[in-house]
Amino acid sequence: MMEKVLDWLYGVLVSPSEVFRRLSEEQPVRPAGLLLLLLAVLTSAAGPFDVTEEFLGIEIPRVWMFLGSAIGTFVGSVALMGAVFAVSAVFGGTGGFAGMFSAVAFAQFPAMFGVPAGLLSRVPGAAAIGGLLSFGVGMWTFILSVIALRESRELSTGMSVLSYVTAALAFIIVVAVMVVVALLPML
Amino acid sequence: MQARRILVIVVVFIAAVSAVLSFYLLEREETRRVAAERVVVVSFSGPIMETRPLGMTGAITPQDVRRALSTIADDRSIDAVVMRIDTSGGSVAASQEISSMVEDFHLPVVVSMADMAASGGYYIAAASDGIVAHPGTMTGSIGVILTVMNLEGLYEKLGIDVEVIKSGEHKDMMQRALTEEERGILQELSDEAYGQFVDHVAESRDMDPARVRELATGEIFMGSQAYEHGLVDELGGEEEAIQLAGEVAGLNDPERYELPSPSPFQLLHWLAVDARSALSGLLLPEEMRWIEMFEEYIYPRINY
Repeated sequence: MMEKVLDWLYGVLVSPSEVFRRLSEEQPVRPAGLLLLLLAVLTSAAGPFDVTEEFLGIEIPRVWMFLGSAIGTFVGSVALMGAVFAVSAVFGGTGGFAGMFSAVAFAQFPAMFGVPAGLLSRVPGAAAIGGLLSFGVGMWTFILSVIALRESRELSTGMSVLSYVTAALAFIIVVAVMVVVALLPML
Repeated sequence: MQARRILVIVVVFIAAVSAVLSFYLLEREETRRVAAERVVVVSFSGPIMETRPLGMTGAITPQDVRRALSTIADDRSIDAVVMRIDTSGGSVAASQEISSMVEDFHLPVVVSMADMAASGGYYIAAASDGIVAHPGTMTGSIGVILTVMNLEGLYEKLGIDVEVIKSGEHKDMMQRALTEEERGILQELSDEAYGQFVDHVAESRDMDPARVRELATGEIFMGSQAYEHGLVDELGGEEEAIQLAGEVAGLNDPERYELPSPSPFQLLHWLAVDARSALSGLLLPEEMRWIEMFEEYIYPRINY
């Protein structure tokens, strides 16, 4: 199984369409989930902890903040995939969630390159290069996600992009509404 | 095939090492940030008042000070505070509230006086851990002023006939000419506030109340004079205030620190609170706004 996973990961970089089609058929959900979790852990370790370290007056150790961030990133990714699945169904997508999840999770693999790029941005004088690389990795991951959705749900490229944009907008609106509702008692 | 798998493993390995290094660097950065000897400088200018009237930008309100101190309290890297004040004074209650916040703050607070820090400004400064003033700063003016506006003539001019039905003899004393007895009542109010001011300065500055009363004639002092009278600890500007704050906090090499911009969520909350009061003011009919303005003056204003 490990060799297969490595082959798929390599395929994501060099021949993504074919690999995503195979992934949506074979549906390796567990390796996909583990990959997503590994990415959540690595990106959280590299990310800044600007949020307050106090919650209800209790100081939270940075390790717990890191773990919280990793779990939050993983859960958020899965939730976003769920939203994308629902929206793509409205746009005529076919196939089940397991196939889409497997393909889209593997499509996140290039985010691994974002971790050293983020480290580079902390080096004095290399912040701009690190930032540029991080941006490039982000774009690359998004494009692969669109291709993965297209191949797994048999949608057109345009519909796949629309599915992601709509799901992201819906996410933002939900978060904004939650913030407003939370702030209402203070008004 | 083997080479491809090795490539993927290498990519994952590099990512893992980068993540560990990033985490370590972040930790080191945070440790350095907290270990840095930082003195934050916050500035407040304008009259001291409880709430800022609609459209007014320059004022010192308890809400402004509370927001600044709250932001400072959230930043573990800050070791002391310099509060730069430029005010001619203002509301007694607001001065007392701000003074309490300064006194109760968990970090040392040193006041740096700008052009003027008189009356209510001095009330606030007295509560701090040290006062620095320029030789040319105007300070002091330890005393109380109470203003009562007699609108009888204006009402007559406008043809407004006021009928009063009251429960107590003095209930309408702010809406007509004062009687001698009522002047006496208000004088007592003023004396009470004056006593509070004197006691506050005596206690905060560790001075003999009798000595404070000698100085508390309402007279304005230049910074150099205030220094000679013991009302000010040091002559100088912001830099001297930073050094003094560093001394009080036990720092070896204090560095000036700018307060970071509030987070988007904090700004959103403040905007919502301010927008609500601004909107309610804008939605009022013009006549109601005039009446609101007059009501500001109907009741006596007691100021430091």
